[in-house]
Amino acid sequence: MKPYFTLQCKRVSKVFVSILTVTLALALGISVALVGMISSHANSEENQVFIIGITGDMENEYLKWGLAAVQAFDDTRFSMQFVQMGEEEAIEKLSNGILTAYICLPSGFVEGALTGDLEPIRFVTTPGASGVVTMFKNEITAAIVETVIDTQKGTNGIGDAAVDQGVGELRGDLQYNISLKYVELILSRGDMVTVDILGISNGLSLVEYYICGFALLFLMLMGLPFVTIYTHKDDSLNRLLLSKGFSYKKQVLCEWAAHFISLLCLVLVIALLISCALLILPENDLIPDTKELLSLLLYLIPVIVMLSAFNLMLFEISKNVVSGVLLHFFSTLLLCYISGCLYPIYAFPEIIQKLDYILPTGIARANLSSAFVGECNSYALIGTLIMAVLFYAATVASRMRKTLSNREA
Amino acid sequence: MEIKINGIKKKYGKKEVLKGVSLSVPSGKCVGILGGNGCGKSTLLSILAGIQPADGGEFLCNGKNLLASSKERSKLVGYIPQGTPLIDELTARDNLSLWYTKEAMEKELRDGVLKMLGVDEFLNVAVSKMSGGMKKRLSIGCAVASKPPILLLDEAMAALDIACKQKIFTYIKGHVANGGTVLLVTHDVMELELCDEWYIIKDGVATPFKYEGDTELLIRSF
Repeated sequence: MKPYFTLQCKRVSKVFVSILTVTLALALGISVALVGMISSHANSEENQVFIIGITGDMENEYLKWGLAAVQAFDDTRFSMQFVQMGEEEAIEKLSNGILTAYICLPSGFVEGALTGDLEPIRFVTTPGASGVVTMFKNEITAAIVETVIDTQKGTNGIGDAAVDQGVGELRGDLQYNISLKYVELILSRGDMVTVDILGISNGLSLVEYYICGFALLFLMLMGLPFVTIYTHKDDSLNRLLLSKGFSYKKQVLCEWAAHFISLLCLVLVIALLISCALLILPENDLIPDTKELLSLLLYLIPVIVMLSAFNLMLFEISKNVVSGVLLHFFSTLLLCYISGCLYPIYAFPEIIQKLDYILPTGIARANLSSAFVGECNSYALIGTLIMAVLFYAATVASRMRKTLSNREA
Repeated sequence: MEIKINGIKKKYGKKEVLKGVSLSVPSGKCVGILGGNGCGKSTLLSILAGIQPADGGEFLCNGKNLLASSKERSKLVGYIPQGTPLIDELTARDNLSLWYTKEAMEKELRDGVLKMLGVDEFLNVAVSKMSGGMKKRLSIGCAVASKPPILLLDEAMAALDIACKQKIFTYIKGHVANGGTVLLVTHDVMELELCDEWYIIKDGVATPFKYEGDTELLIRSF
């Protein structure tokens, strides 16, 4: 057994450099795609900054506090920016799409609100933005009106209470202190709410999810250059080995071990290059650090065990190099797509999400997710190894079937 | 080493390819197996080599049924398939290392079967760069590493030039002269002339045939 395993390793080593070159090109392509996806995600968040113009009478301090309160609203998902300007400028910018909407505050709005003579705030927007902006409109109106009116009530009320209690000389100080309290409460309104982002799958953030998905896609495509080695044009060697008592089980086991080692070596080279790149790149929350990368590497090992068996199975059932390439490529794309490597899986119907639990790519992705979550997913680990054994058995069965069906030269 | 093949049967699904093939090969003889395409010649050889199981019958050598003992069979039987049982990416030396120990390889390269086959001339050439004749000589060198007394050749010399065939013929003649046994499946007239006895497989059974150079008679017998 050892000589055959040694020869298989030697065989791969002869073509390792060319395979590595192809793999590096593949890694570059996938990295570019991944960076593009992550940037697109970051940009989509930036696109959610809503610029709202404020026109009209903005002199009142309470009005300014109210707008500050609204701007502190839900700053984890959206971002609102209030910009004071004249109405003509607001109309022009709204037409150009620079503003999402603008608010027109009537003059004497605050005073009118206090006396009950409330003139409505005019909220101007475009048909396209009306859906989201309606939500803002309600919030802005509520914040301005309620915050202004309620704080005014409180401020005036404490003044009246001081007079009633015979401490009218303290009225000024009490009103000043309560106003400060209101300001503090309003402006720290955002701190009253904490937001936990649970992530989109297995507790991963969107970026971590995409890294797992693309890493898996890369690992699967990495097997493609090996098609020339493992697609059997001539099974004479297998037959001769069998005649010498070296069973197909042992033959496939040696080939599997050699292929696993070669894939692992490729991954280690790529990991080394990424580590070097991380040292050069500026720190970024979106990019994993070296420790996370090493953790990911550890969780990759069972996945590589499974994928090496998967590759061998595909190449064994292929008749020639062309069919091997096509089978491998399209199987990879199909499995990766269904398992949500290219697109978040929660966007798929529930039946597809359930199917993903038993697909090799779904199990592999769950394994890789463990690296980011920091917890070993035993189901995924065992599932990966079971899948590996099944693929190995299928490879042996395919080889035996070929021999039995090869009746006459 | 005399061998006796008794009643070998083989079925593929409902089709019975071999219906009880029986023949014997005396020690020191080369027997040619002939027949039309699909008659079961290669199937017979692959059964004798242990690649496929038989549905019935015996393969006797020194009173032992080699079909029931894979260990004995792998020691005694050398199978040379039609293709090239080599790893393309590796050199001749690397391929030989799968079958020979280092010492045995050096010995055979010096004055043994590998020298006779001329393998020493292209030891460090990658298989992918070899000619068909070189690959076949190397294949034979690999298959006979354990010096098996019984050789099974399944159209092993197909598509080889005459010079290359002559080298292999020399080896076979030497093997037979030393008491070895050869079972040769062939369609080639030159190879037929190498044989001492002939059998034709037709309708699942083997019938002795006397070949005296008359190919017309041979064709009619198929």
